[in-house]
Amino acid sequence: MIKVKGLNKSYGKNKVLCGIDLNAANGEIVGIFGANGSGKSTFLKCVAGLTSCSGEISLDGRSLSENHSLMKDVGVMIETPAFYKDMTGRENIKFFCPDYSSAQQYIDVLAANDFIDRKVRTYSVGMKQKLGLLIACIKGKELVLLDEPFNGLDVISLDQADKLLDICKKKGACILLTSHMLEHSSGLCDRYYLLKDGKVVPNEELLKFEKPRYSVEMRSLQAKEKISALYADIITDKPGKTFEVVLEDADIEKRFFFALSEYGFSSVKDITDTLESKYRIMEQGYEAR
Amino acid sequence: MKHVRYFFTRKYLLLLLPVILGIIVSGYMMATDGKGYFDGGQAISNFVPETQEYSDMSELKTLLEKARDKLKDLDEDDKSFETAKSGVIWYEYLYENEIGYDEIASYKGAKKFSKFSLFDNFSEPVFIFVYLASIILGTLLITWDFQADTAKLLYSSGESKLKILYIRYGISLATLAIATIVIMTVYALVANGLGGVSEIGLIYGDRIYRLSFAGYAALSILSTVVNLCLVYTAIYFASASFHNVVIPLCGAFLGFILLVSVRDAVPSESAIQAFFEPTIFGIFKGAYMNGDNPPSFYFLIYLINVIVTAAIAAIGTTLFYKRDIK
Repeated sequence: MIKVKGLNKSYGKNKVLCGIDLNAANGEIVGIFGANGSGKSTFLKCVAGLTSCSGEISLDGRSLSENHSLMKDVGVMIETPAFYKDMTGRENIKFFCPDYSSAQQYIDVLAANDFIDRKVRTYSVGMKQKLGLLIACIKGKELVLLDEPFNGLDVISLDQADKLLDICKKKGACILLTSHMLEHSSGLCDRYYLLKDGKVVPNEELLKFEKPRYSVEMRSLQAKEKISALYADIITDKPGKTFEVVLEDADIEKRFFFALSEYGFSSVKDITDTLESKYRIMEQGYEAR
Repeated sequence: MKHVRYFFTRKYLLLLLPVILGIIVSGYMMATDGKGYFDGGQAISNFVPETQEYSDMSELKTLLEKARDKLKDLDEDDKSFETAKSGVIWYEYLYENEIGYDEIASYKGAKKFSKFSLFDNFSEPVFIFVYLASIILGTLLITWDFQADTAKLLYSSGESKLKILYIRYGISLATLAIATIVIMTVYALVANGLGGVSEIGLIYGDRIYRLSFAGYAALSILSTVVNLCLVYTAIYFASASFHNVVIPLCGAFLGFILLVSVRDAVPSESAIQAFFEPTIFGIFKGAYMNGDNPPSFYFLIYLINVIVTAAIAAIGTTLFYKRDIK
């Protein structure tokens, strides 16, 4: 289990991380999302010990900064993965991973057998990305830190990468990942943190977006007026025969849909905020929804 | 070894190959083309007084008495006093040991082919090898990981940054030292195989030393290896302060050119030369062979070089350790 408490990092006067608190259990995939420059990569670099910072980072109760040897069981893939180009992919794996025993299983899952014995200098971007994922997952028995792991991967490779991360998770590794592919990543993550201006967006903020939202088109304008009169406090008017409604709890939801069927409607669309729309609202306000 | 293994791949060894070939070719050219060098005994010329020709011991005795008379006429403050004194010591030594003129290989009198001078002429290409190899390995070994962006994977591997820094330093320095010893030993064996004078007479203070070729070569090799350690340490740790290849590489080459230029520009009799001499002749040879300065002077120069190198290593290590890996 990784615990981060009060993590601060500045580059000169520019504060990049301001008191980040975060924890993730073994066998859990936790996403760290945010805009460009929000501090996601810096956060992973701090955890990996690549950059100096203040605050506490502990892995299974032991301080990572004081026990650098713990990094032997931490897999890291930060920004664009780079390897020794004159070595093959397999040689790079052996170089960076002390325990090679699980390597072949992971290579098979990522379908990397075709290129793993070729020199890295001949690799495409996607192949390098796969090799980066392989090294991080093989090495990271305790913790895997992945920064934009899905960049440059095609749809099939994305599925393979998901499978690989799932195996790591089942083996008990804790996975922290950042990504701009929010829809894909949110489906993969058990939990996520949003970073904004170097801080973690509080859970209460995010919970506001978790309530079910629907876009409803009524059969007639009269029907819209009638139902709007009944549920004025939860309905937002939209042009024509449509409106949007936020349903706070199951009881209201039940009564609202009963009223809808009574007055007659043409369509109901679930527009509950996705991670992507939440992210847009956080960054650009409600107009961006 | 794991942390430098990648560096000893074909690509990087190819970088060193031209340097090694350069040494061999330049050594060969000197051996075939430079007969004049051998006759003059250039490199050892300053260390043994000029010996006038004599046919037997009585002529040698006359030369000795002349030398004594010459010394008597000179004041101690006189510029040529030390040279005259060396002459007396030298002739006394020859007379007491009944050494014939044919047995002497010394300044201008060395009419015979001298393996000592042949070996000494080799010191310049070795000096270049030591520098170029130090520049190539010393600047690239740490900075290349930042250039190639492999640093993030490497320094998050669980090994401490300092351990990687020191292991690479130790192995690369040992490799260079072994290469230098092998190259110089092979050359010494080749030179020795050519025959000729087997010993030289060296004068220092009131004593004469006779040094065999093996001893001379050993001193020379030891001196070169000690110099290599200083030069390589300075270049390696200075480079470790940087996160790119270009600045340390250009800096090291510029430093090399500056060093050679300043060394050539400073008059050869100047004491400042001693700061450069250690890189060529070294403390051991210097203390033995140059009567102008006492051994303590050379030790002092060396001490200064060692302190400066240690300071560079300490600063480089601190900067490397404290710096973020971007």
